[in-house]
Amino acid sequence: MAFTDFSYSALQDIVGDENITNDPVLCQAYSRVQWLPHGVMQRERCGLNMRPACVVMPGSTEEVQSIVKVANRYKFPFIPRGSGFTFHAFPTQGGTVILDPKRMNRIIELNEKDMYAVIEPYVAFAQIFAEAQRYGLYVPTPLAGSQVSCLANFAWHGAYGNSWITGIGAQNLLGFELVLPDGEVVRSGSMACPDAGNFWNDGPGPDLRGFLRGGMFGHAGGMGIVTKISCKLWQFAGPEVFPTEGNANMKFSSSLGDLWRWYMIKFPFKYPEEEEQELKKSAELFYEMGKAEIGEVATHLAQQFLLTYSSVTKQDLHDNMNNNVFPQSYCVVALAGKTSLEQLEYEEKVLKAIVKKVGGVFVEEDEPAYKVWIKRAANEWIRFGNAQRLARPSDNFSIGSSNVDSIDKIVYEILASNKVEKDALEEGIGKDFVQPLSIHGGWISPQEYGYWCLHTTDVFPEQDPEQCNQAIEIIGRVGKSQFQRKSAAEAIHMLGPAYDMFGPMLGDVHLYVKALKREFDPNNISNPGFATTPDVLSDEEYRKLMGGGGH
Amino acid sequence: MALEKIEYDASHCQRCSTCKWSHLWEIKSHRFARNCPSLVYGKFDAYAAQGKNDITTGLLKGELTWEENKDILLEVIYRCPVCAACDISCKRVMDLDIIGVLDALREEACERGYGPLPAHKEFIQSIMNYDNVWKQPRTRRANWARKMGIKDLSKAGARADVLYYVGCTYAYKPGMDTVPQNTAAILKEAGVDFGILGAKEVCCGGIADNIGDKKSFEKIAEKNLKMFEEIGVKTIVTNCPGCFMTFSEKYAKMQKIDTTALPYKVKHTTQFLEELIQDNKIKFKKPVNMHITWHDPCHLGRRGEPYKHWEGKRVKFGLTEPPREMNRGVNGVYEAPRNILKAIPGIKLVEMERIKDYAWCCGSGGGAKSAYPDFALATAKERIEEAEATGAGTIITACPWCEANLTDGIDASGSKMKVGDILDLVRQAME
Repeated sequence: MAFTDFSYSALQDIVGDENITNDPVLCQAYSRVQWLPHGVMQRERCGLNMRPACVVMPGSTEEVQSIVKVANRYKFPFIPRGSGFTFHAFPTQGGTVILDPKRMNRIIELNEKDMYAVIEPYVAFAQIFAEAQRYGLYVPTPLAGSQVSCLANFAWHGAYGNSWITGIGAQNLLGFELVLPDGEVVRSGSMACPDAGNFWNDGPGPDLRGFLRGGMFGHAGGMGIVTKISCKLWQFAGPEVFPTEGNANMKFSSSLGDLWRWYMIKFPFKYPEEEEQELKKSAELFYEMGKAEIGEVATHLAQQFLLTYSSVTKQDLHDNMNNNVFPQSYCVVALAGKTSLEQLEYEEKVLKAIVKKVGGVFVEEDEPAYKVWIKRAANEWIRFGNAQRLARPSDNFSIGSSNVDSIDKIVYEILASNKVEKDALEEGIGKDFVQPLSIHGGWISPQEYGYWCLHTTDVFPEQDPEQCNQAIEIIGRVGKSQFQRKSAAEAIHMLGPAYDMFGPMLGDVHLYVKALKREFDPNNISNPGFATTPDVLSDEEYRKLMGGGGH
Repeated sequence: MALEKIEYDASHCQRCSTCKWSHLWEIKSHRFARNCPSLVYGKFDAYAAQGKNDITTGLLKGELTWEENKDILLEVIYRCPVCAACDISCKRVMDLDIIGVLDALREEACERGYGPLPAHKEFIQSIMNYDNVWKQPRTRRANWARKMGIKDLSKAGARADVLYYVGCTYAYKPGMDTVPQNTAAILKEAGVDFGILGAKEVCCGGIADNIGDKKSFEKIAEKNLKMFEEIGVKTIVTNCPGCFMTFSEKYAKMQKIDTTALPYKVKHTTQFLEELIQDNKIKFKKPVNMHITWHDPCHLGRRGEPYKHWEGKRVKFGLTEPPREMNRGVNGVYEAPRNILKAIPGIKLVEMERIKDYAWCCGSGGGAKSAYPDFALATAKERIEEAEATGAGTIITACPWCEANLTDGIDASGSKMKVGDILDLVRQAME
C-alpha cells in the first residue's frame, strides 16, 4: 500500500493541520541531502520523485508512536530528519514521510550534580553547550558542527573535538527512549526504570546502546526514531561565556581564560616524504599522554583539517594552501585546569617532558601555523565542530577512509589508505580533486586517553557527478583494501547498498543487519534503503542465518 | 532570468543547517539560539535559506513550476524580512551568496509578473505618485522642519557641506518627527553646515529593490542620483538605516561600482554623531538615567556594509574569477551607536543575547510588515521578550521601521517596555 489521502488524514488527526504539509514547495526542502558524493549522485539520479509525500512535525513521543503505527497500518516509509546534515535522511522511494522534530526541542532536565542532560531531538549542540556552560559543564563538540541535533549525533556515534576525554557518541549516551519501527517504545539505561534517574547507561535497566550503532555498521536511522536521550556532561575549565573579538566570519576567540592552554607540536621530519615517521611519533606522544592521563584535547591534524577549519573564506583557504601555511601535519593538545591552575601547570610540565622524550617540538607563537590555527580555529574546535567547512575547498568533500582501532594500527591504516588513494590518482582517478588535500595526511583522533582511536582521510571532489563517481570508486577501493587487511573499518560509507558488497568480507555482517531489520521492522518502512538494501531477507535466507530459529 | 545568476550558490548548499542558527559561538541560551524569523514562524525548512536553496534548484531544474505553485512560492519568498542572518551564518562556513538567492527569487517573481504582492504595489505606486511610501502630499514632507531655519538645498544656489536626508517614515509618521527635529538641532549645535531637500526629497526606493521590483527601483534611484548631482552632494547623513543601505549599497550595485566610487559619502546619523562626539563638537550636559538595551537594525548592521562590485564567474573548485569580496556582515555599523550610548552619562546599557552581526531582526523589513503583518508582529514579540530578559526598561534603536514594529510588538504582548530612538537620547543629554 502506498501513501494515500487516507494516510495523510490519519497523520493530520495526530498532529493537527498546522503541523503537516504535503505542499510540493514545502516538501521540496526535504527532498535531498546533496552532501558528500552520495548526495550529489542521489540528486543526479532521483529528481522529483524523491520529494517526500508529506512532512509531519510530531510534538511528543506519543505522537511519534502514533505516526509510526499509522505508517505500519498503511505501509508507507518514514524517515526522521533533524538538521539534514547527513547523507541518509532523504527519501529513496516514493510515498515517503519525513518526520521533522522541530516541535520536540526541549531540554527536559539539566542535572548539574550528576552531570547529565535529558533532551529531545531538535536540541542543537550549541544550545545544550550554552546551557551547560553556565554550570561549568560542556558536551562533546561534534565535528559535524554544533548546529546539528545532539540526540541524532550521539545516536549515530559521532566523533568529537574533545574525544580524547569524551570518546564517541555512544560513550556519552546515558539513556535513550526509542520508538521502534513498529511503534513500540523501549527505554535504555537508567531511563528505563521509573524514578531511577537518567544518570547511567548500564542500568538499572537494559543497556541497549548497541541497538543504536549509527555509522558503526548500524542501521542508519532505519530502526525507528529516538525521541529522547540522556547525555553526559563534562567538566569545562573555560569561562561561562565564550570571549570573542570581531564580527561574522572574522570573529575569533583567542583565549578561554587562565585555565585553558593550547599547544601545537610538530616533529622534525620532511613532509610528506617522512610522513610515516611523523605519524609514528605522534602515536608515541598520545600513548605517553594517555599513560600520564593528562590533557583535554589531543589530536593529530593533517593539512586538510588545518586549512579548512581555519579558513575564513574559500579564497583564504586556497591562498593558505598555496602559501604552505601548514607545511606539515601537527599534533594539537589542550590542557585544562579543571581543579586548579596548579593542576594545569603540573600537566604542562608533564606534557613538556613527554614532548621532549618523543622528540617533538612546540610550535612557536610567531610561526604562521600557530597564528592561524590557534587564533582562528582552536577554540572553534571546542565549541563549533565545524566540519561544514570541510566542504569549503571544493563545495563538497568525502571521507576517503575511516577506521577504529589502536593508535598504532590507525597509523598503519592511514598510510595504507593513502597509498590506495595515491595509486588511484596515478591512474587518473581523482586527478581533478583539490590537491594536495586529497592524498596526504589523516586525522588521528585518540579516544578516552588513547584507549582506542579513530581516523579519517578525506578527498575533495567538486559537486560534479563524474568527480563524485571517482570519489566513490576511491572509497570502494580503500574499503576493499581495509577488509583485505582485516582492518576494523568504521564503514560509515558502507551503509545501504554497499552492505551487500562489503558484508561477505566481514562475516556476512550485512545479513545480520538485514535479519535484525526484518525482526524489528517487519514492513521494512523505517528508512528503507539505507539501513540495508531495500530488499529484505527471504524466509529461507533468514532461517539459514538464524540456524533454523527466528520467526 | 534572475535565478540563473545564482544557480551555483543555490545548488551547492550542503544542508548543514548553519543558516538556521545564530552565530554558533555566541549562542548563550537554549531560548534565544535561533536566527531566522521566517523559519521560526513558518516551521518547515522551506522557509529557511536551506529550503529556499532547494526550491530555487527545483525551479531551475523544472521539478517545481511557478505556474502550479505561485501562491505558496510567493509566501515562502516574501514572508521573510531579508534580514541576512542566514547569509551571515552560512558565510562563516561556505562562500555562497545566500542573500543573492533571496533577492533573485524576488526579482524573478517580479519578472514573471507574480510579484510584488498587492501590499507592496501600494508602496511602489505611492512612491511613483507622491515620492514617498505613505501616500502623503509632497508639501507636507518638510513639515517637521518648520520654523527651524534649515537650508533647503533644492532651492537654486543653496549649498551646504552635508545633505541631511530624512526619509519618508521620519518625515511623515505621526510621532516620529522628534527624531529629525532633534537631529537637526544637534547638527546645528555642533556647528555642522547642513541642509535638507525639503518638499523635493524623494523616497530612496529601497523598498522597491527589496521586493524585487528592479525597474521601479532604477527609476527612483536615477531621480535621486540626478538630484544629488545637481546640488553637488558630497556627504549624505540619514537617520534611516534603509535609506543608508540604499544610498550606499544599492545605488552602487545598480551602477555596477563600489560604494567608495560613488560621488558622495553616506553616513548613518550614529556614525556622524560618533565623529562629532570624538571631535568634542557634541557635549553632554545632563545625565539620562535610563536602563536600556540596544537593537541593531539589520540594514545598519549586517546589511550596512559598503558594496564591492564584482563581475565574474565561478571557476574550478567554486573559486571566483576575478576573486570576489563578498559582504559577510563584518563591517556593518555596530560600534557607532554603542559608543554614543556609552558616552551619554547616566545610561546603563545591557546587551541582549543576539546582537550585532547575529542580531534578531525586528521583522519589519523586506516588505514583510505590509504583506504579512502577523509574521512581523510575531517576530517583534520575540525581540521584545529577548529585550525584557535583559532587565532593561527601554529598547533603543535607530530605525523608524524597527521602532514602529517593536512598538506594535510591545502593544500586542502587553509588555511594559518602551521603545525609543537614540537621537532623542542624545538630544536629551545635550539640553
